Amino acid sequence: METAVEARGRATVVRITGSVDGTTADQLTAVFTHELAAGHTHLVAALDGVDYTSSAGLRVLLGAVKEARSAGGDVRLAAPRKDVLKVLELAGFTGILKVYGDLESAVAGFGA
Amino acid sequence: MATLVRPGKIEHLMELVAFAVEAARAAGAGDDAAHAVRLAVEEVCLNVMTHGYRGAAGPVRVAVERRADVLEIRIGDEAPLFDPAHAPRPRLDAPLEERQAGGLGWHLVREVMDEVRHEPAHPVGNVVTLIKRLARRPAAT
Repeated sequence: METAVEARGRATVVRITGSVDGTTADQLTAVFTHELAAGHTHLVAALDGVDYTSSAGLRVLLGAVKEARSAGGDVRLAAPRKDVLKVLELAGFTGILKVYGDLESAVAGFGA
Repeated sequence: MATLVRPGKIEHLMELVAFAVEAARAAGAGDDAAHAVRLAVEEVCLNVMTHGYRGAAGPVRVAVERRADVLEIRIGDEAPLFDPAHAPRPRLDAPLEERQAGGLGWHLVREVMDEVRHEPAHPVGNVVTLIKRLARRPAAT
């Protein structure tokens, strides 16, 4: 798994590539923790490059979105692929997280 | 039957998962079934490693077999007895503040598999059997 972070308007985009699983989730937690600690609470996880997530990835998202919202921000998801969306749906995460079909819409959701 | 045994350490997790997926594909699993196998085997093995052995390195055995239209995956360990039926059930309709990560793994396993069975192993340990029904193979001509 690889990540890249970029500022886009009010949002901070965390681009994730590869698989989020029991061996890579801690690395992703560290990225979100770092951004939140820097005051970047309007986060978009760009998931179009993610081919797989297990509950380890869901755990990371749950922790990050709780912390972001308690700081007045949010974590939003952009462009999950079929298998990743299925896991999000099975876990009931599509009811608690905002999921956008593409990155532009997710970034625009935070306002200019 | 294809079988792989590795120490229950996280550095062996992906090898066990990849083995199960490859064996499932060789047995005729398509993309959706292969994804289900990947997810379920990771969740069960990771659970054994982190909650079962708690960092100690007992063996984890993954065996994959196709019987007629059913893919059967058995995951065995020598960890303390744990029946996944006792795993906490996540409250999927709870608001975010009340959502907990506990139990999500077993929930996903139950969702993507057709059947999940647990039995104690002798003299110690557990065997979790995952059942996934596959599409019928075309009749031989």
